[in-house]
Amino acid sequence: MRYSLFNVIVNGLTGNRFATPAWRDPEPRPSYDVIIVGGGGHGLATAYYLAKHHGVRNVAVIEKGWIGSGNAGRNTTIFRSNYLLPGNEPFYEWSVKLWEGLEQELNYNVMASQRGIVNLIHSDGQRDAYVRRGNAMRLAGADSELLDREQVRALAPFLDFDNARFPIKGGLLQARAGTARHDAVVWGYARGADQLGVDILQNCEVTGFLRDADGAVTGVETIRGTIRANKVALAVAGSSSRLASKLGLRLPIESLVLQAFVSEGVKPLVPGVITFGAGHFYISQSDKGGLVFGGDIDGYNSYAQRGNLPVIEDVLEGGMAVMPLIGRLRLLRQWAGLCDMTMDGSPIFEIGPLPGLYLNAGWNYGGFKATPASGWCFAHMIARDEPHPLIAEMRLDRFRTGHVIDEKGVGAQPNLH
Amino acid sequence: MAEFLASLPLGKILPTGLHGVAGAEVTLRSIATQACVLVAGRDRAAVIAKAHSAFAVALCDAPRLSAGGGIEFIGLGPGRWLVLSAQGDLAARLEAACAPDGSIFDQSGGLVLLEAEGKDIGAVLAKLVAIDLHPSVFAVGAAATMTAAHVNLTLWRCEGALWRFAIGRSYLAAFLRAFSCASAEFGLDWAG
Amino acid sequence: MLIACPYCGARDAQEFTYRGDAAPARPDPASPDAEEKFHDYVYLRDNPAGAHRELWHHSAGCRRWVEVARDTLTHAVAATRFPAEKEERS
Repeated sequence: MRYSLFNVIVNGLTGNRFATPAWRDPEPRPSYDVIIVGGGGHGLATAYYLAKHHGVRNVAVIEKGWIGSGNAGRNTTIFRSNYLLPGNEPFYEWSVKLWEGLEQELNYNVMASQRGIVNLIHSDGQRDAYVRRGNAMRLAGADSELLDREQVRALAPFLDFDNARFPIKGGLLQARAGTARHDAVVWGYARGADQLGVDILQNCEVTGFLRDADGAVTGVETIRGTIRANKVALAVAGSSSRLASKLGLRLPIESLVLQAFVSEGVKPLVPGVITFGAGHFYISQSDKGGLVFGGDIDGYNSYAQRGNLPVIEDVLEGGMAVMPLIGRLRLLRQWAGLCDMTMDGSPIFEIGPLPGLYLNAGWNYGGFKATPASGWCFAHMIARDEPHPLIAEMRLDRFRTGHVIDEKGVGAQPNLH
Repeated sequence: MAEFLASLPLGKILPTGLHGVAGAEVTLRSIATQACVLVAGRDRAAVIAKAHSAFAVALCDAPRLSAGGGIEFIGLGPGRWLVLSAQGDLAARLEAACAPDGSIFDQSGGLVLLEAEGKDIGAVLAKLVAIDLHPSVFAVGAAATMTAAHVNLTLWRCEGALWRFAIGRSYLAAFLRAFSCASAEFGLDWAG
Repeated sequence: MLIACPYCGARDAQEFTYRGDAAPARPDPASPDAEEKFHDYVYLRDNPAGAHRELWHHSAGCRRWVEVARDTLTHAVAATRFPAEKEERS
């Protein structure tokens, strides 16, 4: 069913009696051309683009829980392409371009809103760094604009511009960045993929892998039975190491927890996304009115999907320093997601490392924004057995050859990226 | 207190005198002393033996106070002690006694020693540090190194209601802000 | 989360700085396959969901490295020790 104003009216007047589910709930078939493990945004987007652009429609997306129950439902819904390094920036800029047309592409309201992101500047050194970043963005075809103090004040007069430690001196604006409704992104891709013939298998935990005599991956064992496939693709973010260990693989990844918070709803206040890198606090406002914010990752390996109090204190201290008015708001909810932190802070796309296996992992704390481009490029990689040019540098062997993509320059210490 | 602190620049030392409610149940003063850090090398037992023969002190390799010969040793970490004395040239005496097994670093300029007293001092400290200071687990002579209001400090319990603190000198203003806030409800007499 | 420092006693995890997995051992740089081994040592991790031995620096306390046996699912600390010492505390 194509969604339209006409359909909304007709279904409303007929009490939704003729409405159909957005996607089927099929039984697993014995085999598929491609199995994608992981029913988050990346896995579903991969399935969608495989079916749409590469003609590969005999595809299953296998999800342990319900689709979007992992990081796709636990992020702070921001998309942006304000990266520095040439290995990253063109990929994220392509993602922003896909976000810009996503609703028309999917015929689904993902509530993508290009409300802009401002990185605050507090010192001359930080300004130099952001000028460099802004120029790198422009070289890759993205937009960036350096704001002075008064331009930032016009956007966000509620910030503490005269903080004793971090007075605000300006900002780097990417006006095309924004936010989207995270669940709707998952649902939109799921519906789109389903309509193209992809089977979405929920509550179907993978318990092991099928291997042939040469060690090639030929399918998966699940709690709903054995499913064979010519190609098995992993897009499981924080659980990548857990699944890879079932194949005897070790990855350059550690799983850590990132917390996020939302306040009670208030009238429109925060115009876009504001990041306070010096104290590590970032904030935006949802369409419902809640202030959505976060900060640093909990700094140690964890699969707990919940956060610890010291980091909550740290995030709120950062928030109070840059935006004192949040002290008057009540915190509504707090949650945490598993971040697959890599050794250089950048993602991994790989054909292999075993025959028949394809790997999409290492999204650190920034996977949501990459959802469309990740699916786009991973589908290309699976269908053609060659990396898409946008992810040519994001290969697993970069750690062996020294071609790491280390935006922050902190080295092989995942909790510091 | 909050209004008063808001008027006091962050980097400025709290003025001496009475703060908080009337009554001055808690007193705080700095102590004039020399401070060194003694670090044992590979042979920790040799340093303990040498300290014993030079100062007649049973040096304890634990977070607690060992005193002897007018010198106090406070355990900071395995094989490391903060050494305090008001008499003589402390660094030279330690050097003569413990080198070369132990290395001596004069911290007199870097550290400030404070002494706090009062019947409500336990309630004040409970607001500042995240460890259990009840006498059953933190008896007289016990010491601990941790943070209070993001300021690193070493503290140890002396006789009665007396406590001592060692704090980096540049953090004194920040520590005094935190301490004065914590003790305002009992009244603080800061002697400087 | 409390970590029992072998010297200082039970302390809040905030006093510690995290390093990571304690298992990787620095390879012999003179060995013929040193390049391969150093890649594994620097970059590859087991990253288990469950029991994990890891290094924490007690940076706000005794300033020593502590090896902590901790569960990454529950955050329960099973045992701690100084890496050079065999004896464990639980």
